[in-house]
Amino acid sequence: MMVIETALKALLILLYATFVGFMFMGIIRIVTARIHRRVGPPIYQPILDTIKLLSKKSSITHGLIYDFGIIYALGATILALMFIPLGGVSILRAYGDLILITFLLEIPMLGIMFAAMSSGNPWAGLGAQRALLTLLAIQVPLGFAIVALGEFYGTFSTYQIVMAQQSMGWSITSLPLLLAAVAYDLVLQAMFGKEPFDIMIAPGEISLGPMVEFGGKHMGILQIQHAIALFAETLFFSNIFLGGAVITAFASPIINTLATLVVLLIKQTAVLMVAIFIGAIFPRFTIDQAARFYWKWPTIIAAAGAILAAL
Amino acid sequence: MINELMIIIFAPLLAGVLAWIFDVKGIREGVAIIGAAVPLAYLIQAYQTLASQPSIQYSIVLSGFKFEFILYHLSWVFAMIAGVVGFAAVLGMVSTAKDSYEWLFALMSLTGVYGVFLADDLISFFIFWEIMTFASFMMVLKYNRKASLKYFLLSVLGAYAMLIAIGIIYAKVGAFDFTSVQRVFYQDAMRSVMGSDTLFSRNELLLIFGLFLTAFGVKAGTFPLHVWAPDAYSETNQSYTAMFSGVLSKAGVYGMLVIYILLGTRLMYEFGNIGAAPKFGYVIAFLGGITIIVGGLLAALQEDIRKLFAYSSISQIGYILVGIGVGTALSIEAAIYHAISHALFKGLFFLIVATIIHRTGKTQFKDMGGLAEKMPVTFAMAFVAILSLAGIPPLVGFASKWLIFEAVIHQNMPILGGMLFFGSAIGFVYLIRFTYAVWFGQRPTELDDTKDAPLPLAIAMGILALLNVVFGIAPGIVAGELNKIFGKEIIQGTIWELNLGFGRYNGLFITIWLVVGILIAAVIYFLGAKVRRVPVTDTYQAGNPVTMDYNLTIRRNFFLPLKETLAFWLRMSFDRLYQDIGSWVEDLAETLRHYIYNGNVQAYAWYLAAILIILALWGV
Amino acid sequence: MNLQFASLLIALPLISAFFVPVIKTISRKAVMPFLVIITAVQTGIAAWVFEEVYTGGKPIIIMAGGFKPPVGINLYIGHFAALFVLIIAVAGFFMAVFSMKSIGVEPKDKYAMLFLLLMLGATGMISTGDIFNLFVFMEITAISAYALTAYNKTGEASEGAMKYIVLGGIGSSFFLVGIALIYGSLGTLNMAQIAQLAGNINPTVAQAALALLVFGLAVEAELFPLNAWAPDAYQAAPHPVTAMFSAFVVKAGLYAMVRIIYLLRDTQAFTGILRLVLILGTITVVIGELSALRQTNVKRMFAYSSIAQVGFMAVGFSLGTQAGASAGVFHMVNHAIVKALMFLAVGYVALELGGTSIEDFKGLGKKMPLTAFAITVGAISIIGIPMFNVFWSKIQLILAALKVGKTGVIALILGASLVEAVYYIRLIHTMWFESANGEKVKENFTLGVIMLLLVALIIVIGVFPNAAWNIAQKAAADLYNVSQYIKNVPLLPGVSP
Repeated sequence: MMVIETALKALLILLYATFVGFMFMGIIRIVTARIHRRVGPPIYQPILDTIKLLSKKSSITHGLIYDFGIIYALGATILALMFIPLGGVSILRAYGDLILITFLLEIPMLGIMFAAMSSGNPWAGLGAQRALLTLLAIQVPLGFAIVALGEFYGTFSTYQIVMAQQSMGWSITSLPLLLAAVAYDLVLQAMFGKEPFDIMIAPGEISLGPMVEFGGKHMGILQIQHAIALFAETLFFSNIFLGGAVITAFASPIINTLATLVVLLIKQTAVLMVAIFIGAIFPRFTIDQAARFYWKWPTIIAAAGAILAAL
Repeated sequence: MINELMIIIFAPLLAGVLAWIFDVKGIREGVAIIGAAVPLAYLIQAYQTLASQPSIQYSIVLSGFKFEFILYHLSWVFAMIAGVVGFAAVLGMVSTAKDSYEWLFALMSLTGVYGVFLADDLISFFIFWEIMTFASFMMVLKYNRKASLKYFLLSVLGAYAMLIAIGIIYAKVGAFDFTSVQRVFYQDAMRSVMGSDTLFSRNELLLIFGLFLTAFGVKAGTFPLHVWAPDAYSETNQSYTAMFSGVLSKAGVYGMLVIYILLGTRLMYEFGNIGAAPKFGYVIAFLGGITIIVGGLLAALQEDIRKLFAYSSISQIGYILVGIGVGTALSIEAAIYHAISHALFKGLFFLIVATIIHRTGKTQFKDMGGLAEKMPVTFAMAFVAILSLAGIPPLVGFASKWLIFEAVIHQNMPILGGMLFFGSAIGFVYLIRFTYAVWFGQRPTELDDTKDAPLPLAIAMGILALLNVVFGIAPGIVAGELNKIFGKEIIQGTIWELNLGFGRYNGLFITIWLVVGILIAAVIYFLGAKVRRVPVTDTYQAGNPVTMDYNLTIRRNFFLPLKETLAFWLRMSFDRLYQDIGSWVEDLAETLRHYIYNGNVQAYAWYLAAILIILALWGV
Repeated sequence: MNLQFASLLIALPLISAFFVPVIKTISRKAVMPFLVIITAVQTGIAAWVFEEVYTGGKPIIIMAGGFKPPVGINLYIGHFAALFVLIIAVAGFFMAVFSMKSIGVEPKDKYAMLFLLLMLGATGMISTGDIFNLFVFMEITAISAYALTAYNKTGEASEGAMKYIVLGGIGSSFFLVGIALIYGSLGTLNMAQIAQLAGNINPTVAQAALALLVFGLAVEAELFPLNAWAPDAYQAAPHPVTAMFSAFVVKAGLYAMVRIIYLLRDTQAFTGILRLVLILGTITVVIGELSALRQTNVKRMFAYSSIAQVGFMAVGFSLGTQAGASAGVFHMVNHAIVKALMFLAVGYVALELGGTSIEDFKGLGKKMPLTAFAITVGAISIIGIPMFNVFWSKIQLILAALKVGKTGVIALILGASLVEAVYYIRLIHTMWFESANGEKVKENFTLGVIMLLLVALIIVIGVFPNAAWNIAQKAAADLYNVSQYIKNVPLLPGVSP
């Protein structure tokens, strides 16, 4: 019984996350278009794209690693999703450790790298290099932001942090965590692969980098992965910095849950919007510029936050 | 009946000597494997004994010194690291060792390590330390004089530092055994609390600490004493390096723990704390943090597969030092846990490197590529090792790193926390470089008939890979043993789970949900159309055909942008500094000799006169 | 057997030396075998004496003509002397065997004579109980050493011998003045009696006398900067002679110095002179090691290394503690074994391959594996690796020094030891891992056996140091414990100056 219930929950979360993720992708395209004074595609365009990719009649592969890397990436993203508190429905929120989730959110990239590199395409190699250096660049401010959180709350459980915020107010209302949140938000920009830190895919320059070789169902799976990752990353940010959402105002648990999801969705969308705006305004950084940028201001801000939180 | 501790310590050496004397292919390998297996068997057996009694002890008197040995939980854990990884390395050497010389010294160094771990007095600790250093040095000497000299000089410098520290302690304590020394320092700490005169003054204490730190720092490869490691690790039989990096470096780590055991209380009272961490430990932790970063960055920039992993090894040891330095029971447990995982994944990595070099004869990234198809077994092992080192759950590397992260951040140490995060990213960075250059991309045609790992190496890798997985999924097995060291439940939870109270990690759940996730992804994958296999040359190149005439894989200077970003820092090098000091000493020596022993007998007669004048002055 | 037969230790080499010309007239070829036989017999006697002293636990006192000291001159073969006489005899025997192969230059009879006189002198220096006798034996040693240095009759050899003579001569004359001062102030030459009366001596005189004695002996004991003769002499002398220089001649000089310093323990100058020796010893180590660093001539490199090791022993003795003396004696024993082995091996290489420059050692592991192995073991031992003998004496010495708080000195010495490791490791690498052309040499069986014996000794002491350490401790007690020394010598009661 337990197992079936858990499985059902997991499935619901997964479907919800995928759907919202695709919506986010649609929103990104629309908003960007509007900033560019274009009309833009309909919001469900990414879903159509993905369905088209998945239903292609012919796919190519470069070997076992090529296939497995993609599957692994999606699998790991689903794994990460399960650990992030999503109001009252999340499954493994008791184990939703900050460090664990931070690592889990990075794993899918490893699968994509493996798949991309095994294709032998030099652009993929170049893209992998840039992606890794971006990762290296963002890791320092990201680390400090996480450290600040851990120190501030004295616990690593995301769920407990969410609960604490229900009584103490949002994390960003205290100075150390505000600093951490600013840094983390800058980091998110690179995690989403948005400008100015999109050099790893650099469309038009290195032919989408790691993505260059994927097509057909491989690309389709990666689209799903991207959608879920988008959802998971925004959700994580909303949870740790924006107070998450635990609504118990209504009598019915179902309504409570739905309300929670709505609140979270609003917060997630807000996070996304900030990313889109920044992305639409700034031009692309080269990799060493990106590294120098991240190792300077975000790092200083986040470190200040962490040190303040430690005191 | 010979004492079992003596068997554990000397069985490898005996086997080594026998293998050296009976230099027959087949026999020497057999003897060596037995020599490595016997201590392991005895250690496993000792586990039962230790369940009923706290320790196994043995002592012997030689040359006026009483040598004491002890096997208790802490030394058992470290000895097991040596046992398992040493055994795997010996198996690997069956495939790669060229002559009996290597057998002798490889096994001798194993004896040295066992001795260090089981020693219960400073003199045996020192002696086995020296044996270990010497034997490993001989392993390097055969391959490269310069690398071995650098290694030996720094090691001996460390050993002499330790010797002086031991001498100072002995002069005041009058005994060498750990128990007495520990007691005296503890009493001293109490005295300093009471405000009465202490046996060791503050400066002496600082001196002893500094000397020990130098000694153990060299062996562990702590910045800035790490310069020997990249050369020494790479310029020897790579199967042996599995032991060298996996086990011998742990002697340095163990030494750091010995500092805690012997001097901990006194140091803590004398120098106080920063936050919750003892100040003296903070020195260790901070050096560890810098080691992580320096080792990791340099690893990413290497063009030689052996050097990449040598630097990576240094970087990973940094984590252990951070854990030890923070100095809480939890962080020390975390550090020991990471010592175990370091031995497991680093041992595995060096065996993989050994296999690659054994089969291809190449060491530079630029000569490799596309080997995943030719060496699937080795690649699978590499996959496990990469996931483990990069700290991907549910492998052992994540469990231990996670513990260190939590332990450090929970003690409110922001800077160290940042260093740890940076270290985990840089780990990703250099591992992908290795993966890309060796396994993927177009394969140079000369590697087309590369074979997969020979059986002994495959078995050795299999053992280590299996443990990497098992200890990751069931981290509680290790945590249970670590708790015994402190005698209390510092890390709670079941065998699947680590529960610190402020953070939880469950290896089993992660495994289950990862499998679930992968199954879901696989279902989507298999619902799609059938795939068609295409060769490596059939990639998107804007319509430009790719041929095997041009190798389009980026193998050299993969992280060129990183190098450019770090250009300023890369100009500084401790290695060069030491080399400059070395040649400066040589020049000075030559000048001195030239002027003093100038061959002129009149000058010599003047020396007599000078001394006579000194005597006269002194006399009056 | 009557213990007075121990006087044969002095008598046998002396008489045999006179017999050499006789043997020569019988057969030229018989000279070298004669030398071997005599040294073998000497070894036998020394072994017997050693056995007697160590099982009996009492020193053997031999009184010339039956007159009791201080009237008569006595030999004092205590634990230290018994040990060193044995070392001298054994080293002498091995080198005599080696000489049969290595000495090609005539006149061999002169060589044999000088060889025996050198042994006689060193034996006498170590076993005499009379300070003037000490001087005489020292002169015998020194003069035969000068002559042996020049034996090869090359320009280099003459130059080396010349330097040795000049410095040695100055040294011995000052030594003599020192003796005169002591005699003038105490009226006795017997060492036991000097020790007994040392308290009464005028402090200024004691200071001057001690200074002069130390100064004179420092030349023989190769303390910096009075050791300038040594590298040249070591390099130029015939190979067996070099081995003997390093194995016992220098140690006899050091012994004499230490013995005299300890005898005058009751004087005020004692601590001052100890400090002086400590400083000299430390500088000796540092300069010796540094000088060896870039040597391209292996024999000369070993010579510098030998000097440095003597400095090490001097440091041990100058600590002024029992532990320090024990370590010093232990180091003497170990060093004698190792350096005898190494100079023997180097000499043998020079004999087979024609030189001792580092070029000749390239690929020695292929050409002469046994010899290369012997040198390797010796080098590893000297560097101070555990499981080899020198490790134990080094560690005892370092602990003894730290016990009296000489941390700085030890840091310096250990720093110098690092340098030592460098040049020995370079040599080892050259021998084994650098290729050179050349045929494999068929190694001499007898020399091989001798080298293996010494190697075995190094490793046996290295693994089971207990026996050797006990012996060294007893020998050191004999040296250090002066009141016991005075008691052991049956001084005629009532005879005082």
